[in-house]
Amino acid sequence: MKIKLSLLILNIILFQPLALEAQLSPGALAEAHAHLSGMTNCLSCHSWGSKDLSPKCLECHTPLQSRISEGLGYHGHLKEQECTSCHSDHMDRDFEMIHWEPSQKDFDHQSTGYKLEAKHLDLNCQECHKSELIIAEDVLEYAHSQSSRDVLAATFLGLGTKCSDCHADVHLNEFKDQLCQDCHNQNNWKTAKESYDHDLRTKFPLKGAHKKVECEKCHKDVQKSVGKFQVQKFVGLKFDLCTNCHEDKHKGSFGNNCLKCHTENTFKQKELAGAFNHQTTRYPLVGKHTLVHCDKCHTEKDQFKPASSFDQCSDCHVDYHKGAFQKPERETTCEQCHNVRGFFPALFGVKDHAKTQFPLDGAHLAQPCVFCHNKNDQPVYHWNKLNCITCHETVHGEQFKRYNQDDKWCESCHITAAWSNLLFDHKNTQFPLTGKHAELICANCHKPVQDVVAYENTPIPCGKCHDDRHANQFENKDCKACHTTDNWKIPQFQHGTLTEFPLDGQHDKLACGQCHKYDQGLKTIRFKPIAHACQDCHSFKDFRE
Amino acid sequence: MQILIKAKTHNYLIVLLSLVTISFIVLYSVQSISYLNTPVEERYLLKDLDGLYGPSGLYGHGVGFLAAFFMFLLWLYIIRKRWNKLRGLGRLSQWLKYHMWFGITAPLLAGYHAAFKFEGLIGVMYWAMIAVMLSGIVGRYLYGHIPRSRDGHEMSMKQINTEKATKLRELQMEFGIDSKDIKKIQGLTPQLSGAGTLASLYHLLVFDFKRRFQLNQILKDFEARYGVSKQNLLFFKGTIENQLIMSQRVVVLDAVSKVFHWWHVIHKPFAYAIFIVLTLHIILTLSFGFTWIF
Repeated sequence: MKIKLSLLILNIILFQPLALEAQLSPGALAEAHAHLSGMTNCLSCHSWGSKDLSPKCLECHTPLQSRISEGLGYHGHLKEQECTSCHSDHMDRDFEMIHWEPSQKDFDHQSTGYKLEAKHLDLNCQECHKSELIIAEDVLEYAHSQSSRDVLAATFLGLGTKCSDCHADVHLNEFKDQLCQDCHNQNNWKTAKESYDHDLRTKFPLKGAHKKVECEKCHKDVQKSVGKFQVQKFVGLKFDLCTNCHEDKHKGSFGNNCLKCHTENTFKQKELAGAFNHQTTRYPLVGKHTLVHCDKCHTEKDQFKPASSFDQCSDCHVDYHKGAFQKPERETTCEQCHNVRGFFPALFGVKDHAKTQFPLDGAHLAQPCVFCHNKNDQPVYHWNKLNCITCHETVHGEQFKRYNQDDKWCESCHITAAWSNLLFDHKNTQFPLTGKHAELICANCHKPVQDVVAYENTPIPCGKCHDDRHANQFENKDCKACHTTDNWKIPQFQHGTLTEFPLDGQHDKLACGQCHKYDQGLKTIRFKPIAHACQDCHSFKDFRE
Repeated sequence: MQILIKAKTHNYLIVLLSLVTISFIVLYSVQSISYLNTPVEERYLLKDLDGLYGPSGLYGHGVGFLAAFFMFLLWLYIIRKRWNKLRGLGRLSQWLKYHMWFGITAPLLAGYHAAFKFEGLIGVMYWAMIAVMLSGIVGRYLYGHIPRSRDGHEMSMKQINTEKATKLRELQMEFGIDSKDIKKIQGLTPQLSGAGTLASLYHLLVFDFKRRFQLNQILKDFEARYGVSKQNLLFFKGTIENQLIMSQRVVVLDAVSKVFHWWHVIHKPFAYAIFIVLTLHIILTLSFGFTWIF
């Protein structure tokens, strides 16, 4: 009984399939090798007498075998080592047999012989390493032979290194004899124009403004498209005539050779002026005309056809003077005053002006023409009546009008040199200036009345300008009886003749202030009336002393 | 052929071997700690350490060789036990000590050989090995509770009772212990007539646990009353303890014998399985080129 039970347990331990297999296999194989599981498959990977599994690995992984022997790809660049030094197994079903150091994202792709650059660096591995991009036949054959597993989805082998191996040819085979990198780089497909040498690689070297033009301007989209890309036509474009690309604004009227007038730098007139020799025409350009845009003169539909008439300035120019000089009685031409070097300054100078009814002198010589020859933004060159107030406004209001004889009344006082240079002499007035008055400026006496300085009817009496410091003690008395215009102070007052109290004796020696004292009532010095009886000033005591 | 080495010498040798083993394991653990702490599936990336401490590494494989060697040495005890011609080669109990030492050390070394990779099915057989080891320890415990003669053979009940009676007489003769106290000693072991096997085994554990306390209690009482001199104390104590042990073993002898009888059913099949699988493992690994330094 005991022996039977022992044998039974022994049998269970030894021949329970999983348990026994566990002794022979150090662990479950990874998913990729799952089909090799089982006690009868050991020799699929292991060899008798050698622990190096590499030969058996490569016996199965034929695409790797060929790449290693040819020194291609990541494995082809590795120094010789056993497969198991990088790829372990028997670590369970979900074991990842490819260990990425430091990570798959940071894998040094240059070690595969294909360095990732620019935009490629931003891609996830699976964006390139996907089954539909695998083109290597040996990999495809191998994958086909491994029908139990999706080898193409898992492998990193089999991609091509040419651009077209992954990228669609949006040029529809236009450049079949050229490499993509001849025009493109890996930073951006669209920047092809930056690196493409149009001068070297095409029969149409780019010059002038053509260098700045976007490729799409000439190489336009065609109807076809490849995926999301619109196909552009790069080959077979006609370029022998400018009109292959450019519209002929002249509708053929100047022939086919555009370069007779235009350059490749620009069509703009400013630049064109240098290219087209207008001197060969019937109207050679001189002066300011050389700077004028063509279309300023050539405004017609057939704009570069010769203008129908160009012998008169007014054929092109608007008459600034609005016909002022075109009157029959005057035979005046534009050239008399202007030339092609510019409308301004006019050639009509001071000497010419001297021949007019208004020769310029004084301050008038310094004035620009428009100061006088412009009224309400309208040019004015003729006046029926020409005097100062034709241009100047009087600041004197209605004063002095009585002097207006033949509209020349301003000249009575003013000259053209300057307003402040006056011919006026105050002696000719009712109030000749003497003494201190001659030292005063006009405004001291002539004050504005309603914004107009009053010159006429200025009051003459002293009290109109000066304050009465005597508090009306000398009412109805003429100031000049005591004062002069030289000085307020009275040098020698005639007390004997002008007062009732002649000074004599001791009185003559007294100072004025000893009798004429400050009066609190008047708030000034009292001059009159002053009591002048003896006792009004003296007492008996005074006489006794 | 008769080779007799003192039991103490074997004990010293076992202690020495154990110290060497412990030292080796400590040293190996310190050296390989960074490798063993690395997750199993990443260890192969530590090429240098894997070349030393991996299952096929220089040291790891060497330890495996040593573990396998010890596994085979385990069988020497069986051969000695079964083959009469080897009876003169020391006592069977001494051979058992080495058997036990190898039985504990070999799985330990095998663990280091496998770099403690016990996950999944690969671990099943290792745990079988541990089962053999643990069952061996249990077996040794039970084995110790079956009274044996000096040559290691099981004693009959008659021999046991004779032995007990001899010891009691020695106590009475030497120390004058009266029959009342003899009964007291015998009364410390309860009668378990009718108890089941599991209950008996439970009491066996309780006996072993309580015995030291019971012994100390009795010794204190007896020393005071019978005036045992210091020279005789050891003998006195040994005799009393022997009386207790014999009494207890007699009580559980049937249950222990019964379990020990069936214990082989566990210990041996696993041991045979390990032997077969180990042999197969060695043959396979050698065949696949894992020849260590050879």
